[in-house]
Amino acid sequence: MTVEAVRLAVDRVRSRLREDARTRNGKLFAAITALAVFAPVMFSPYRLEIVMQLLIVILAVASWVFVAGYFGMFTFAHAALYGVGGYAAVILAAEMGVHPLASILLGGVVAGLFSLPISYPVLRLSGAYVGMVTLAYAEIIYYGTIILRDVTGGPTGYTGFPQLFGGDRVVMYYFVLALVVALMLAMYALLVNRFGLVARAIRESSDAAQMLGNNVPRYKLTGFLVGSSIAGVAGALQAYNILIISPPMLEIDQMIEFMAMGIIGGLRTFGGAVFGGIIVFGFSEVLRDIGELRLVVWGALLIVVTLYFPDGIAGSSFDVRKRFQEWFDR
Amino acid sequence: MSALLATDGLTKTFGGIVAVDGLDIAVDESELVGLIGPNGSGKTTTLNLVTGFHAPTGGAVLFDGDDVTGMKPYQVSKRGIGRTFQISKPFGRMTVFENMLVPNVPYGPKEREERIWKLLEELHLDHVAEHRADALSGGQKKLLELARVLMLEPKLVLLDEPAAGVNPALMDEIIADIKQINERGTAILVIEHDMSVISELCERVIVMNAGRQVTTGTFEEIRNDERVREAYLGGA
Repeated sequence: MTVEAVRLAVDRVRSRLREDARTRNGKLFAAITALAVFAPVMFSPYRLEIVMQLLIVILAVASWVFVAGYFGMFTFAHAALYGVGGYAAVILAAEMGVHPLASILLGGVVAGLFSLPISYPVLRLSGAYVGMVTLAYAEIIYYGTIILRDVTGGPTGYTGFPQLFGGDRVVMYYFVLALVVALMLAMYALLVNRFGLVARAIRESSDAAQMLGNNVPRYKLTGFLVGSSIAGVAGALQAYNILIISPPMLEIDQMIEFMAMGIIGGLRTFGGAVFGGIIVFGFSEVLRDIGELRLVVWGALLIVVTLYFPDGIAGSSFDVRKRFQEWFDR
Repeated sequence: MSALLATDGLTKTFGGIVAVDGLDIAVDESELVGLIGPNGSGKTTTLNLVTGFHAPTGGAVLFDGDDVTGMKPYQVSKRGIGRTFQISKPFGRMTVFENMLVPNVPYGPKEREERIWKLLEELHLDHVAEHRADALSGGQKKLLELARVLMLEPKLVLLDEPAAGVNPALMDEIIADIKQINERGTAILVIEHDMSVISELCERVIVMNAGRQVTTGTFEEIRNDERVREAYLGGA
Protein backbone atom coordinates (compact mmCIF):
# COMPACT_ATOMS: atom_id res chain seq x y z
CA MET A 1 0.00 0.00 0.00
CA THR A 2 1.36 3.38 -0.95
CA VAL A 3 1.33 6.46 1.28
CA GLU A 4 -1.29 7.97 -1.00
CA ALA A 5 -3.58 4.94 -0.58
CA VAL A 6 -3.26 5.10 3.20
CA ARG A 7 -4.07 8.82 3.17
CA LEU A 8 -7.17 8.15 1.07
CA ALA A 9 -8.27 5.38 3.41
CA VAL A 10 -7.85 7.58 6.47
CA ASP A 11 -9.79 10.39 4.75
CA ARG A 12 -12.54 7.96 4.01
CA VAL A 13 -12.72 6.84 7.66
CA ARG A 14 -12.88 10.48 8.77
CA SER A 15 -15.66 11.43 6.40
CA ARG A 16 -17.63 8.29 7.23
CA LEU A 17 -17.24 8.93 10.96
CA ARG A 18 -18.56 12.46 10.45
CA GLU A 19 -21.50 11.11 8.43
CA ASP A 20 -22.29 8.30 10.83
CA ALA A 21 -22.06 10.56 13.87
CA ARG A 22 -25.13 12.44 12.63
CA THR A 23 -27.33 9.35 12.42
CA ARG A 24 -29.52 7.99 15.20
CA ASN A 25 -27.03 5.19 15.88
CA GLY A 26 -24.15 7.65 15.88
CA LYS A 27 -25.78 9.82 18.52
CA LEU A 28 -26.55 6.78 20.64
CA PHE A 29 -22.93 5.65 20.35
CA ALA A 30 -21.69 9.06 21.42
CA ALA A 31 -23.91 8.88 24.49
CA ILE A 32 -22.83 5.30 25.27
CA THR A 33 -19.14 6.20 24.89
CA ALA A 34 -19.53 9.23 27.17
CA LEU A 35 -21.25 7.01 29.71
CA ALA A 36 -18.43 4.47 29.43
CA VAL A 37 -15.76 7.14 30.00
CA PHE A 38 -17.41 8.32 33.22
CA ALA A 39 -18.43 4.86 34.41
CA PRO A 40 -15.77 4.61 37.17
CA VAL A 41 -17.10 7.72 38.93
CA MET A 42 -20.75 6.88 38.34
CA PHE A 43 -20.95 3.21 39.17
CA SER A 44 -20.21 1.08 42.23
CA PRO A 45 -17.20 -1.24 41.95
CA TYR A 46 -19.53 -4.18 41.37
CA ARG A 47 -21.34 -2.40 38.53
CA LEU A 48 -18.01 -1.36 37.04
CA GLU A 49 -17.00 -5.03 36.84
CA ILE A 50 -20.16 -5.72 34.89
CA VAL A 51 -19.56 -2.83 32.52
CA MET A 52 -16.04 -4.12 31.93
CA GLN A 53 -17.34 -7.57 31.05
CA LEU A 54 -19.91 -5.99 28.77
CA LEU A 55 -17.23 -4.02 26.91
CA ILE A 56 -15.23 -7.18 26.31
CA VAL A 57 -18.30 -9.09 25.15
CA ILE A 58 -19.13 -6.26 22.74
CA LEU A 59 -15.65 -6.59 21.22
CA ALA A 60 -16.08 -10.36 20.83
CA VAL A 61 -19.52 -9.95 19.23
CA ALA A 62 -18.24 -7.19 16.93
CA SER A 63 -15.44 -9.47 15.73
CA TRP A 64 -18.04 -12.15 14.98
CA VAL A 65 -20.27 -9.67 13.11
CA PHE A 66 -17.15 -8.68 11.15
CA VAL A 67 -16.80 -12.27 9.90
CA ALA A 68 -20.42 -13.51 9.82
CA GLY A 69 -22.32 -10.31 9.06
CA TYR A 70 -20.02 -8.73 6.51
CA PHE A 71 -18.50 -11.74 4.74
CA GLY A 72 -21.39 -14.11 5.39
CA MET A 73 -19.01 -16.73 6.87
CA PHE A 74 -21.33 -17.98 9.59
CA THR A 75 -18.73 -19.41 11.94
CA PHE A 76 -19.51 -21.24 15.19
CA ALA A 77 -15.88 -21.41 16.21
CA HIS A 78 -15.65 -17.85 17.45
CA ALA A 79 -16.29 -18.56 21.14
CA ALA A 80 -13.72 -21.36 21.00
CA LEU A 81 -11.12 -19.01 19.49
CA TYR A 82 -12.07 -16.39 22.09
CA GLY A 83 -11.24 -19.05 24.68
CA VAL A 84 -8.01 -20.01 22.92
CA GLY A 85 -6.92 -16.37 23.11
CA GLY A 86 -7.66 -16.37 26.83
CA TYR A 87 -5.80 -19.60 27.58
CA ALA A 88 -2.84 -18.64 25.40
CA ALA A 89 -2.44 -15.23 27.04
CA VAL A 90 -2.51 -16.35 30.66
CA ILE A 91 -0.43 -19.48 30.07
CA LEU A 92 2.21 -17.46 28.20
CA ALA A 93 2.30 -14.93 31.04
CA ALA A 94 2.30 -17.43 33.92
CA GLU A 95 4.55 -20.16 32.57
CA MET A 96 6.79 -18.49 30.02
CA GLY A 97 7.32 -15.14 31.65
CA VAL A 98 5.78 -13.11 28.84
CA HIS A 99 4.76 -9.61 29.95
CA PRO A 100 1.01 -9.74 30.67
CA LEU A 101 0.26 -6.79 28.36
CA ALA A 102 2.18 -8.42 25.51
CA SER A 103 0.46 -11.72 26.27
CA ILE A 104 -2.93 -10.14 25.45
CA LEU A 105 -1.81 -9.35 21.93
CA LEU A 106 -0.11 -12.75 21.63
CA GLY A 107 -3.42 -14.32 22.69
CA GLY A 108 -4.87 -12.71 19.57
CA VAL A 109 -2.04 -14.06 17.45
CA VAL A 110 -2.49 -17.61 18.78
CA ALA A 111 -6.26 -17.44 18.18
CA GLY A 112 -5.49 -16.33 14.63
CA LEU A 113 -3.16 -19.32 14.19
CA PHE A 114 -5.85 -21.64 15.57
CA SER A 115 -8.29 -20.29 12.98
CA LEU A 116 -6.01 -21.34 10.11
CA PRO A 117 -6.79 -25.10 10.09
CA ILE A 118 -10.49 -24.40 9.45
CA SER A 119 -9.93 -21.44 7.15
CA TYR A 120 -9.41 -23.81 4.21
CA PRO A 121 -12.89 -25.40 4.39
CA VAL A 122 -14.51 -22.12 5.50
CA LEU A 123 -13.16 -20.37 2.41
CA ARG A 124 -14.51 -23.02 0.09
CA LEU A 125 -17.85 -23.90 1.67
CA SER A 126 -20.91 -21.76 2.12
CA GLY A 127 -24.02 -21.51 4.26
CA ALA A 128 -24.84 -24.33 6.66
CA TYR A 129 -21.66 -26.25 5.77
CA VAL A 130 -19.50 -23.50 7.24
CA GLY A 131 -21.61 -23.80 10.39
CA MET A 132 -21.11 -27.56 10.59
CA VAL A 133 -17.35 -27.53 10.06
CA THR A 134 -16.75 -24.70 12.52
CA LEU A 135 -19.08 -26.26 15.11
CA ALA A 136 -17.12 -29.51 14.94
CA TYR A 137 -13.84 -27.62 15.30
CA ALA A 138 -15.21 -25.65 18.26
CA GLU A 139 -16.14 -28.91 19.99
CA ILE A 140 -12.63 -30.30 19.42
CA ILE A 141 -11.11 -27.23 21.05
CA TYR A 142 -13.63 -27.32 23.89
CA TYR A 143 -12.89 -30.95 24.74
CA GLY A 144 -9.20 -30.24 24.23
CA THR A 145 -9.28 -27.73 27.07
CA ILE A 146 -10.87 -30.35 29.32
CA ILE A 147 -8.60 -33.25 28.38
CA LEU A 148 -5.27 -31.41 28.27
CA ARG A 149 -5.33 -31.05 32.05
CA ASP A 150 -1.57 -30.43 32.38
CA VAL A 151 -1.67 -27.40 30.12
CA THR A 152 -5.12 -25.94 30.71
CA GLY A 153 -5.98 -27.02 34.24
CA GLY A 154 -8.78 -29.23 32.97
CA PRO A 155 -12.47 -28.77 33.79
CA THR A 156 -11.85 -26.49 36.77
CA GLY A 157 -9.96 -24.04 34.64
CA TYR A 158 -6.70 -22.12 34.91
CA THR A 159 -6.05 -19.62 37.67
CA GLY A 160 -3.15 -18.10 39.55
CA PHE A 161 -1.74 -15.98 36.74
CA PRO A 162 -0.52 -12.41 37.40
CA GLN A 163 -3.05 -9.60 37.60
CA LEU A 164 -2.81 -6.58 35.35
CA PHE A 165 -1.84 -3.20 36.87
CA GLY A 166 -1.39 -4.71 40.32
CA GLY A 167 -5.10 -5.23 40.66
CA ASP A 168 -6.05 -1.55 40.21
CA ARG A 169 -9.56 -1.92 38.78
CA VAL A 170 -9.97 1.64 37.56
CA VAL A 171 -6.74 1.53 35.54
CA MET A 172 -7.79 -1.90 34.30
CA TYR A 173 -11.14 -0.45 33.30
CA TYR A 174 -9.62 2.34 31.22
CA PHE A 175 -7.18 -0.09 29.64
CA VAL A 176 -10.05 -2.37 28.60
CA LEU A 177 -12.08 0.59 27.33
CA ALA A 178 -9.16 1.95 25.30
CA LEU A 179 -8.29 -1.40 23.74
CA VAL A 180 -11.91 -2.20 22.91
CA VAL A 181 -12.47 1.22 21.32
CA ALA A 182 -9.18 0.98 19.39
CA LEU A 183 -9.95 -2.46 17.96
CA MET A 184 -13.55 -1.49 17.15
CA LEU A 185 -12.21 1.55 15.29
CA ALA A 186 -9.70 -0.62 13.44
CA MET A 187 -12.48 -2.93 12.22
CA TYR A 188 -14.62 0.10 11.36
CA ALA A 189 -11.76 1.57 9.32
CA LEU A 190 -11.46 -1.66 7.33
CA LEU A 191 -15.20 -1.90 6.78
CA VAL A 192 -15.79 1.63 5.47
CA ASN A 193 -12.99 1.21 2.97
CA ARG A 194 -12.67 -1.04 -0.08
CA PHE A 195 -12.13 -4.07 2.15
CA GLY A 196 -15.65 -3.72 3.58
CA LEU A 197 -17.17 -3.03 0.19
CA VAL A 198 -15.70 -6.21 -1.28
CA ALA A 199 -16.65 -8.16 1.88
CA ARG A 200 -20.29 -7.18 1.41
CA ALA A 201 -20.10 -8.01 -2.28
CA ILE A 202 -18.71 -11.47 -1.40
CA ARG A 203 -21.60 -11.99 1.01
CA GLU A 204 -24.09 -11.20 -1.77
CA SER A 205 -22.36 -13.21 -4.49
CA SER A 206 -18.86 -14.52 -4.19
CA ASP A 207 -18.89 -15.61 -7.86
CA ALA A 208 -19.72 -12.15 -9.14
CA ALA A 209 -17.21 -10.48 -6.81
CA GLN A 210 -14.55 -12.83 -8.11
CA MET A 211 -15.47 -12.30 -11.76
CA LEU A 212 -15.03 -8.56 -11.19
CA GLY A 213 -11.33 -9.09 -10.55
CA ASN A 214 -11.29 -9.41 -6.76
CA ASN A 215 -9.10 -12.05 -5.14
CA VAL A 216 -11.99 -13.45 -3.09
CA PRO A 217 -10.07 -16.20 -1.24
CA ARG A 218 -7.52 -13.66 -0.03
CA TYR A 219 -10.22 -11.25 1.19
CA LYS A 220 -12.04 -14.04 3.02
CA LEU A 221 -8.88 -15.37 4.60
CA THR A 222 -7.89 -11.89 5.80
CA GLY A 223 -11.37 -11.29 7.20
CA PHE A 224 -11.46 -14.65 8.96
CA LEU A 225 -7.98 -14.15 10.43
CA VAL A 226 -8.62 -10.59 11.60
CA GLY A 227 -11.99 -11.50 13.15
CA SER A 228 -10.60 -14.59 14.89
CA SER A 229 -7.55 -12.74 16.22
CA ILE A 230 -9.69 -9.96 17.67
CA ALA A 231 -11.89 -12.57 19.32
CA GLY A 232 -8.68 -13.97 20.83
CA VAL A 233 -7.73 -10.56 22.21
CA ALA A 234 -11.22 -10.25 23.71
CA GLY A 235 -10.82 -13.67 25.33
CA ALA A 236 -7.44 -12.68 26.76
CA LEU A 237 -8.93 -9.49 28.21
CA GLN A 238 -11.77 -11.47 29.73
CA ALA A 239 -9.38 -13.97 31.33
CA TYR A 240 -7.38 -11.16 32.95
CA ASN A 241 -10.59 -9.45 33.92
CA ILE A 242 -12.25 -12.33 35.76
CA LEU A 243 -8.92 -13.90 36.80
CA ILE A 244 -9.88 -17.38 35.69
CA ILE A 245 -10.31 -19.13 32.40
CA SER A 246 -12.26 -22.35 32.24
CA PRO A 247 -13.91 -24.51 29.55
CA PRO A 248 -17.42 -22.96 29.91
CA MET A 249 -15.99 -19.76 28.41
CA LEU A 250 -15.65 -21.50 25.08
CA GLU A 251 -18.69 -23.72 25.24
CA ILE A 252 -21.36 -23.67 22.56
CA ASP A 253 -23.69 -21.80 24.97
CA GLN A 254 -21.24 -18.93 24.91
CA MET A 255 -21.22 -19.03 21.10
CA ILE A 256 -25.00 -18.94 20.96
CA GLU A 257 -24.98 -15.96 23.30
CA PHE A 258 -22.57 -14.11 20.99
CA MET A 259 -24.72 -14.99 18.00
CA ALA A 260 -27.91 -13.88 19.72
CA MET A 261 -26.25 -10.56 20.51
CA GLY A 262 -25.04 -10.15 16.94
CA ILE A 263 -28.38 -11.02 15.40
CA ILE A 264 -30.49 -8.96 17.81
CA GLY A 265 -28.17 -6.00 17.40
CA GLY A 266 -28.01 -6.33 13.63
CA LEU A 267 -25.69 -8.34 11.42
CA ARG A 268 -25.47 -5.83 8.58
CA THR A 269 -24.51 -2.91 10.77
CA PHE A 270 -21.22 -2.92 12.59
CA GLY A 271 -22.72 -1.00 15.51
CA GLY A 272 -25.18 -3.83 15.98
CA ALA A 273 -22.72 -5.58 18.28
CA VAL A 274 -22.93 -2.66 20.71
CA PHE A 275 -26.73 -2.64 20.83
CA GLY A 276 -27.03 -6.42 20.89
CA GLY A 277 -24.39 -6.68 23.60
CA ILE A 278 -26.06 -4.09 25.82
CA ILE A 279 -29.56 -5.50 25.33
CA VAL A 280 -28.80 -9.19 25.79
CA PHE A 281 -26.14 -8.70 28.47
CA GLY A 282 -28.37 -6.18 30.24
CA PHE A 283 -31.31 -8.57 30.18
CA SER A 284 -29.13 -11.37 31.53
CA GLU A 285 -28.04 -9.21 34.46
CA VAL A 286 -31.52 -7.92 35.22
CA LEU A 287 -33.02 -11.37 34.90
CA ARG A 288 -30.28 -13.11 36.87
CA ASP A 289 -32.76 -13.94 39.64
CA ILE A 290 -35.11 -15.93 37.44
CA GLY A 291 -32.29 -18.28 36.49
CA GLU A 292 -32.78 -20.49 33.47
CA LEU A 293 -36.08 -18.83 32.71
CA ARG A 294 -34.15 -15.97 31.17
CA LEU A 295 -33.36 -18.23 28.24
CA VAL A 296 -37.09 -18.11 27.49
CA VAL A 297 -36.96 -14.31 27.51
CA TRP A 298 -34.01 -14.43 25.09
CA GLY A 299 -35.81 -16.76 22.77
CA ALA A 300 -38.83 -14.49 22.74
CA LEU A 301 -36.57 -11.49 22.11
CA LEU A 302 -34.91 -13.27 19.16
CA ILE A 303 -38.29 -14.07 17.65
CA VAL A 304 -39.55 -10.50 18.02
CA VAL A 305 -36.38 -9.08 16.52
CA THR A 306 -36.25 -11.42 13.54
CA LEU A 307 -39.94 -10.77 12.83
CA TYR A 308 -40.05 -7.01 13.26
CA PHE A 309 -36.44 -5.91 12.81
CA PRO A 310 -34.97 -8.38 10.32
CA ASP A 311 -31.82 -6.26 10.11
CA GLY A 312 -31.50 -6.09 13.90
CA ILE A 313 -31.97 -3.16 16.23
CA ALA A 314 -29.12 -1.13 14.73
CA GLY A 315 -30.33 -1.78 11.20
CA SER A 316 -33.91 -0.72 11.92
CA SER A 317 -35.20 2.73 11.11
CA PHE A 318 -37.04 2.92 14.44
CA ASP A 319 -36.85 6.51 15.66
CA VAL A 320 -37.70 6.89 19.35
CA ARG A 321 -38.22 10.63 19.24
CA LYS A 322 -40.50 10.45 16.23
CA ARG A 323 -42.58 7.69 17.81
CA PHE A 324 -42.98 9.74 20.98
CA GLN A 325 -43.89 12.77 18.92
CA GLU A 326 -46.57 10.79 17.10
CA TRP A 327 -47.85 9.49 20.38
CA PHE A 328 -48.13 12.98 21.85
CA ASP A 329 -49.72 14.39 18.71
CA ARG A 330 -52.53 11.92 18.88
CA MET B 1 -5.68 -13.11 -37.62
CA SER B 2 -5.46 -15.44 -34.67
CA ALA B 3 -8.54 -15.84 -32.50
CA LEU B 4 -9.00 -13.76 -29.34
CA LEU B 5 -10.48 -16.72 -27.49
CA ALA B 6 -9.94 -20.32 -28.51
CA THR B 7 -10.65 -23.59 -26.77
CA ASP B 8 -8.53 -26.55 -27.75
CA GLY B 9 -10.04 -29.97 -27.09
CA LEU B 10 -11.70 -28.59 -23.96
CA THR B 11 -13.19 -31.40 -21.87
CA LYS B 12 -15.07 -31.55 -18.59
CA THR B 13 -16.52 -34.61 -16.95
CA PHE B 14 -18.61 -34.68 -13.78
CA GLY B 15 -18.36 -38.24 -12.50
CA GLY B 16 -19.47 -40.32 -15.48
CA ILE B 17 -21.14 -37.47 -17.33
CA VAL B 18 -19.21 -35.75 -20.08
CA ALA B 19 -20.51 -32.18 -20.03
CA VAL B 20 -18.01 -30.74 -22.49
CA ASP B 21 -16.41 -33.17 -24.90
CA GLY B 22 -13.27 -32.05 -26.73
CA LEU B 23 -14.70 -28.67 -27.63
CA ASP B 24 -12.93 -26.47 -30.20
CA ILE B 25 -14.49 -23.05 -30.58
CA ALA B 26 -13.01 -19.65 -31.37
CA VAL B 27 -14.06 -16.02 -31.07
CA ASP B 28 -12.18 -13.36 -33.03
CA GLU B 29 -11.41 -9.86 -31.89
CA SER B 30 -14.42 -7.51 -32.04
CA GLU B 31 -16.70 -10.36 -33.07
CA LEU B 32 -20.26 -10.79 -31.80
CA VAL B 33 -20.96 -14.53 -31.62
CA GLY B 34 -23.99 -16.46 -30.41
CA LEU B 35 -23.67 -19.76 -28.57
CA ILE B 36 -26.80 -21.88 -28.78
CA GLY B 37 -27.80 -25.46 -28.17
CA PRO B 38 -30.44 -27.47 -26.38
CA ASN B 39 -30.57 -27.60 -22.57
CA GLY B 40 -27.68 -29.62 -21.18
CA SER B 41 -25.53 -29.22 -24.26
CA GLY B 42 -22.70 -27.72 -22.19
CA LYS B 43 -22.97 -23.99 -22.91
CA THR B 44 -22.81 -22.70 -19.35
CA THR B 45 -20.21 -25.31 -18.42
CA THR B 46 -18.09 -23.98 -21.27
CA LEU B 47 -18.38 -20.48 -19.83
CA ASN B 48 -17.44 -21.81 -16.40
CA LEU B 49 -14.37 -23.51 -17.87
CA VAL B 50 -13.26 -20.39 -19.73
CA THR B 51 -13.70 -18.14 -16.68
CA GLY B 52 -12.04 -20.53 -14.23
CA PHE B 53 -15.05 -21.54 -12.13
CA HIS B 54 -14.40 -25.16 -13.13
CA ALA B 55 -11.02 -26.70 -13.84
CA PRO B 56 -11.13 -28.57 -17.15
CA THR B 57 -10.57 -32.33 -17.18
CA GLY B 58 -8.62 -31.92 -20.41
CA GLY B 59 -7.78 -29.48 -23.18
CA ALA B 60 -6.82 -25.82 -23.02
CA VAL B 61 -8.25 -22.30 -23.08
CA LEU B 62 -6.23 -19.72 -24.99
CA PHE B 63 -6.95 -16.03 -24.65
CA ASP B 64 -5.18 -13.17 -26.36
CA GLY B 65 -2.18 -15.35 -27.13
CA ASP B 66 -1.84 -16.74 -23.59
CA ASP B 67 -2.76 -20.07 -22.05
CA VAL B 68 -5.29 -19.22 -19.33
CA THR B 69 -6.31 -22.83 -18.59
CA GLY B 70 -6.94 -23.43 -14.90
CA MET B 71 -6.57 -19.77 -13.90
CA LYS B 72 -8.77 -18.42 -11.12
CA PRO B 73 -11.78 -16.29 -12.08
CA TYR B 74 -10.21 -13.08 -10.75
CA GLN B 75 -7.06 -13.77 -12.78
CA VAL B 76 -9.07 -14.44 -15.93
CA SER B 77 -10.99 -11.24 -15.30
CA LYS B 78 -7.77 -9.26 -15.04
CA ARG B 79 -6.65 -10.66 -18.39
CA GLY B 80 -9.69 -9.05 -19.99
CA ILE B 81 -12.58 -11.51 -19.91
CA GLY B 82 -15.79 -10.17 -18.42
CA ARG B 83 -18.84 -12.26 -17.69
CA THR B 84 -22.46 -12.02 -16.61
CA PHE B 85 -24.44 -14.87 -15.09
CA GLN B 86 -27.50 -16.83 -16.19
CA ILE B 87 -29.29 -15.83 -13.00
CA SER B 88 -28.28 -12.21 -12.43
CA LYS B 89 -26.07 -11.72 -9.43
CA PRO B 90 -26.37 -8.09 -8.41
CA PHE B 91 -25.09 -7.28 -4.92
CA GLY B 92 -28.67 -6.87 -3.74
CA ARG B 93 -28.20 -5.13 -0.42
CA MET B 94 -25.86 -2.58 -1.93
CA THR B 95 -26.85 0.44 -3.99
CA VAL B 96 -26.38 0.48 -7.77
CA PHE B 97 -23.50 2.92 -7.31
CA GLU B 98 -21.82 0.71 -4.71
CA ASN B 99 -22.21 -2.23 -7.10
CA MET B 100 -20.19 -0.25 -9.62
CA LEU B 101 -17.39 0.26 -7.09
CA VAL B 102 -16.78 -3.48 -6.68
CA PRO B 103 -14.88 -4.09 -9.97
CA ASN B 104 -11.17 -4.05 -9.21
CA VAL B 105 -9.86 -1.31 -11.49
CA PRO B 106 -6.62 0.63 -11.15
CA TYR B 107 -8.13 4.13 -11.32
CA GLY B 108 -8.06 6.74 -8.60
CA PRO B 109 -11.35 7.66 -6.92
CA LYS B 110 -12.11 10.64 -9.16
CA GLU B 111 -11.58 8.88 -12.46
CA ARG B 112 -13.43 5.85 -11.14
CA GLU B 113 -16.45 7.96 -10.29
CA GLU B 114 -16.45 9.62 -13.70
CA ARG B 115 -16.38 6.25 -15.42
CA ILE B 116 -19.19 4.94 -13.23
CA TRP B 117 -21.49 7.85 -14.10
CA LYS B 118 -20.66 7.56 -17.78
CA LEU B 119 -21.53 3.85 -17.83
CA LEU B 120 -24.66 4.30 -15.71
CA GLU B 121 -25.86 6.97 -18.12
CA GLU B 122 -25.12 4.82 -21.16
CA LEU B 123 -27.00 1.88 -19.69
CA HIS B 124 -29.93 4.01 -18.45
CA LEU B 125 -29.24 3.35 -14.78
CA ASP B 126 -28.18 6.83 -13.64
CA HIS B 127 -31.61 7.65 -12.25
CA VAL B 128 -31.53 4.57 -9.97
CA ALA B 129 -27.91 4.96 -8.86
CA GLU B 130 -28.84 5.35 -5.21
CA HIS B 131 -31.46 2.56 -5.23
CA ARG B 132 -30.72 -0.79 -3.70
CA ALA B 133 -29.89 -3.30 -6.43
CA ASP B 134 -32.48 -5.84 -5.27
CA ALA B 135 -35.19 -3.24 -5.92
CA LEU B 136 -34.39 -3.15 -9.66
CA SER B 137 -36.46 -4.90 -12.33
CA GLY B 138 -35.14 -8.08 -13.96
CA GLY B 139 -33.93 -6.16 -17.00
CA GLN B 140 -32.28 -3.44 -14.95
CA LYS B 141 -30.43 -6.10 -13.00
CA LYS B 142 -29.06 -7.48 -16.27
CA LEU B 143 -28.01 -3.97 -17.30
CA LEU B 144 -26.31 -3.42 -13.96
CA GLU B 145 -24.34 -6.65 -14.38
CA LEU B 146 -23.29 -5.50 -17.81
CA ALA B 147 -22.31 -2.04 -16.56
CA ARG B 148 -20.26 -3.57 -13.74
CA VAL B 149 -18.39 -5.81 -16.16
CA LEU B 150 -17.67 -2.88 -18.50
CA MET B 151 -15.91 -1.04 -15.67
CA LEU B 152 -13.09 -3.54 -16.25
CA GLU B 153 -12.82 -2.56 -19.95
CA PRO B 154 -12.72 -6.20 -21.01
CA LYS B 155 -11.60 -7.36 -24.44
CA LEU B 156 -14.24 -10.08 -24.40
CA VAL B 157 -17.58 -10.22 -22.63
CA LEU B 158 -19.42 -13.50 -22.08
CA LEU B 159 -23.16 -13.01 -21.63
CA ASP B 160 -25.18 -15.88 -20.19
CA GLU B 161 -28.80 -15.43 -21.26
CA PRO B 162 -29.06 -11.64 -21.17
CA ALA B 163 -32.71 -11.84 -22.31
CA ALA B 164 -34.03 -14.24 -19.67
CA GLY B 165 -36.63 -12.60 -17.44
CA VAL B 166 -36.48 -9.25 -19.22
CA ASN B 167 -39.66 -7.45 -20.31
CA PRO B 168 -39.94 -6.92 -24.09
CA ALA B 169 -39.68 -3.12 -23.92
CA LEU B 170 -36.36 -3.25 -22.12
CA MET B 171 -35.21 -6.13 -24.36
CA ASP B 172 -34.83 -3.81 -27.37
CA GLU B 173 -32.76 -1.49 -25.23
CA ILE B 174 -30.50 -4.29 -24.06
CA ILE B 175 -30.00 -5.51 -27.63
CA ALA B 176 -29.09 -2.00 -28.76
CA ASP B 177 -26.68 -1.64 -25.82
CA ILE B 178 -24.96 -4.94 -26.59
CA LYS B 179 -24.56 -3.91 -30.23
CA GLN B 180 -23.11 -0.57 -29.24
CA ILE B 181 -20.60 -2.15 -26.86
CA ASN B 182 -19.53 -4.50 -29.64
CA GLU B 183 -19.20 -1.66 -32.16
CA ARG B 184 -16.63 -0.04 -29.89
CA GLY B 185 -14.42 -3.09 -30.35
CA THR B 186 -15.34 -5.41 -27.48
CA ALA B 187 -15.82 -9.01 -28.59
CA ILE B 188 -18.98 -10.64 -27.25
CA LEU B 189 -20.03 -14.26 -26.88
CA VAL B 190 -23.68 -14.57 -25.98
CA ILE B 191 -25.62 -17.63 -24.82
CA GLU B 192 -29.31 -17.23 -25.53
CA HIS B 193 -32.43 -19.34 -25.97
CA ASP B 194 -34.47 -16.58 -27.57
CA MET B 195 -33.72 -17.03 -31.28
CA SER B 196 -35.08 -13.60 -32.20
CA VAL B 197 -32.39 -12.09 -30.00
CA ILE B 198 -29.70 -14.29 -31.57
CA SER B 199 -30.80 -13.51 -35.13
CA GLU B 200 -30.85 -9.80 -34.42
CA LEU B 201 -27.53 -9.66 -32.58
CA CYS B 202 -25.10 -12.16 -33.96
CA GLU B 203 -22.95 -12.16 -37.06
CA ARG B 204 -22.09 -15.75 -36.39
CA VAL B 205 -23.64 -18.53 -34.34
CA ILE B 206 -21.98 -21.57 -32.78
CA VAL B 207 -24.29 -24.53 -32.21
CA MET B 208 -23.44 -26.97 -29.42
CA ASN B 209 -24.88 -30.37 -28.63
CA ALA B 210 -23.70 -33.03 -26.17
CA GLY B 211 -20.63 -30.99 -25.29
CA ARG B 212 -19.42 -30.52 -28.85
CA GLN B 213 -19.64 -27.93 -31.58
CA VAL B 214 -22.19 -29.15 -34.13
CA THR B 215 -21.63 -26.39 -36.63
CA THR B 216 -21.03 -22.67 -36.95
CA GLY B 217 -22.21 -20.05 -39.43
CA THR B 218 -24.58 -17.16 -39.92
CA PHE B 219 -28.05 -17.44 -38.45
CA GLU B 220 -29.49 -18.18 -41.93
CA GLU B 221 -26.95 -20.93 -42.51
CA ILE B 222 -27.51 -22.74 -39.27
CA ARG B 223 -31.28 -22.36 -39.47
CA ASN B 224 -31.32 -24.53 -42.55
CA ASP B 225 -28.76 -26.99 -41.28
CA GLU B 226 -30.09 -30.51 -40.87
CA ARG B 227 -27.66 -31.27 -38.01
CA VAL B 228 -28.95 -28.32 -35.99
CA ARG B 229 -32.53 -29.46 -36.36
CA GLU B 230 -31.48 -32.91 -35.28
CA ALA B 231 -29.74 -31.50 -32.19
CA TYR B 232 -32.87 -29.71 -31.09
CA LEU B 233 -35.47 -32.28 -32.11
CA GLY B 234 -33.47 -35.46 -31.66
CA GLY B 235 -32.14 -37.63 -34.49
CA ALA B 236 -34.67 -39.70 -36.42
